[in-house]
Amino acid sequence: MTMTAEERGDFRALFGDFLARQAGEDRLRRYLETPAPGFDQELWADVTKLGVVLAALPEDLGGGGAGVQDLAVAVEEAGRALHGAPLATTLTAARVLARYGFLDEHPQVLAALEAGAVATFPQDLGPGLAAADPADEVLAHLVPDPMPGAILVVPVRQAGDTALGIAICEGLRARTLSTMDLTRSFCDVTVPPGAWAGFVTDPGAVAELFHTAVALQAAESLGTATTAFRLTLDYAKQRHQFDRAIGGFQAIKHRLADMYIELQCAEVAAAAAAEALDSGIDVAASVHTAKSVTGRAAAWITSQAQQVHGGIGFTWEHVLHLYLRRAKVNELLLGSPAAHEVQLVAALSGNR
Amino acid sequence: MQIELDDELERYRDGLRAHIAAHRPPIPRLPGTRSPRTADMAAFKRWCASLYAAGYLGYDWPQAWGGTGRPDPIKDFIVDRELADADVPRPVGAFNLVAQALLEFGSEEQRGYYLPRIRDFADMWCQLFSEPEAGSDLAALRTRAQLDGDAWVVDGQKVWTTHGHIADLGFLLARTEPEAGKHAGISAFIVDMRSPGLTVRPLREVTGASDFNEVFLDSVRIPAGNIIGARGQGWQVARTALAHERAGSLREDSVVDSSLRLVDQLSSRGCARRADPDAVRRLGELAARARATDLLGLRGVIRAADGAAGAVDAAVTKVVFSEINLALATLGVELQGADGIVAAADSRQDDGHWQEAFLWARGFTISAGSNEIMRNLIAENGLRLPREPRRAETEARR
Repeated sequence: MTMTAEERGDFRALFGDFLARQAGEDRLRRYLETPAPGFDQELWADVTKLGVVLAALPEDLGGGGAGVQDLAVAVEEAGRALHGAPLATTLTAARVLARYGFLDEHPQVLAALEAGAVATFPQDLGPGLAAADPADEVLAHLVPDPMPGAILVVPVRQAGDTALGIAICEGLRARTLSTMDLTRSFCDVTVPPGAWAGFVTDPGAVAELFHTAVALQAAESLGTATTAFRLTLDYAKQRHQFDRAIGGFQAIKHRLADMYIELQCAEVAAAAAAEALDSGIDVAASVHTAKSVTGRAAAWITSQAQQVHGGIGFTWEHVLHLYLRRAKVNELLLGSPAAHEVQLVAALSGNR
Repeated sequence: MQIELDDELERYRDGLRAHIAAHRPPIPRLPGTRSPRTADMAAFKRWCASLYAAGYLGYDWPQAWGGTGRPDPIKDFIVDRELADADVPRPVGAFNLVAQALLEFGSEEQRGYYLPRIRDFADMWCQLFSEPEAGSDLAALRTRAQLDGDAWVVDGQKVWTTHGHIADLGFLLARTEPEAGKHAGISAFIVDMRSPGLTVRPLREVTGASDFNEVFLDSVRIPAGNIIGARGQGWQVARTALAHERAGSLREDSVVDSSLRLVDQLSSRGCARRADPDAVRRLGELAARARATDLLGLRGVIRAADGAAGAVDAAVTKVVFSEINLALATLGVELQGADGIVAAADSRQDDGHWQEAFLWARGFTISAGSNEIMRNLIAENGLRLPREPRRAETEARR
């Protein structure tokens, strides 16, 4: 059952506190010493023990039956802490595979999820994506953390229709890519024809995976932008020049007001997308809106955060660039704001 | 995000719909102007009075004055939306502003006389606050009022007086204590707009229409009993009234509707930028922003109804609304290509809707607290950043 507002608040506090304790600035600093280290598996094990992934599974499979709005709370908190594990992809894939009956038919995949496996899918996902034929070798591009045992979900083309192909990452050829994001790692994975564990052939599944992924990404970007904004607000109050806190100068003050305004827009747009997925009403337009607004807002806020921080924000040692990198990468993955804006116009004209 | 209406609120909404159907005034919608015409004034006043009588305006007033004493942001939202959707004239003027001032600060005699008249919409009210040298810095106002026997004698000039040319009464701020501090020297008054020495001169706006005015006060005599509150209390009176005004401001345009109008326009055959990928992309960005604007407004209503309104919710919504509204109108003109210059009667596209909307939209980023003042407010009251230096500090610095 989806959570009440009060339960959701408790869930946020619980997970937020956990991340603040476990994934604080010290952990972030490790990324500065060893860029793209892959995620912290010890921390992921603790996250799964908290039951965050189980929450995404339906009640008849022994899960918590959480809605997208509930999952968005966890992902937003992870975004605030720049948590590096593929939480959003795992929750998205677990939810969609359960909803389309795949986990019922493949108990070994369900068991793997319950045991703490991550689930992941290519981040160049989008409606325009030309899905490959699984009878040939399929290249999955920009896949976060396809570690051994991970559940890989790839849009493919079967008998002229789009479908989801599911493979377990064991012995698959994977190449780690250098990317702008220092807190997550991305790979290209090659799936040979014989490696598929099964398929979801309902054509709605690809769209639902995409929409859910974008809604949770919006929540994550919102979290990342929130922390960058707070760091910047604190800095503007504490940094003095010309005998005044720099936050008292209108040039800075108005910039912070604008950052706050963008954050408010991102908040309502991200919440509306998650709500639309739970209600099934106005899904496509709400998701495209969320990506346009949060994608742009988070990239802009983290960029402005650097400007207000001045020279210190341009140094490697300050963690701010980790937030900028995450926001920028999220802006571009799963369809850029521009791509979603074009799709929004199409969705709105289709509704009329 | 949705506003759930319980049975009582649903009945309230249905009652309003029936009321609109029964009382819709025979006033044509005038493109490009917002003030009612003199010829329509009687019908306009009857219409507004009917909204008071039926409990759709002023329902939140104390019971002694004909209300329920229970403000409800959801009811305000319903009235706001239903009037806009039904495309009936919105009640305009400073009636609500002065009512809030009187309810809080008026004498028994003033309340007994004016409040029933406000409910009857017997008078058209205007607001006489801004001056040529006192805009965003309203407390710098210079219009003087001096007590002379049983009357205040007022000299000065007011500006941006919306509906001043059709107003019967004005809600005036003037300086009564020139020796007192900037804010402490101001008092609030009710002035008869037909007083000798009071001249109203319409100002033409960029659209070519005249909704606001300059008002010249030359030894205008106001009865001593027309002061609202005590001498020197005017700033507090105005602030209290404005706080209600911001909370209950009536929406004029829906930016989501505007964005959908542009979606239709972009796909119409006559559109100069039809299928232009850049235009489609930009419209998508603005449409997304418009949807977020509506959501912010809804969230504000829900928070206010829960008694959890944020200190700067209204300021954030004002900035976001006014800026997306201007951006949509700008794109609306641009989508017509060179024909975007063709206005009103000669326009083949939309009767000049976007040309007029484009010119008018700038007004919202300036009026009711310019967006720069709103950003100060968000930063200072919301984010607790240092306040702008006051005059004394500025001088000490020199």
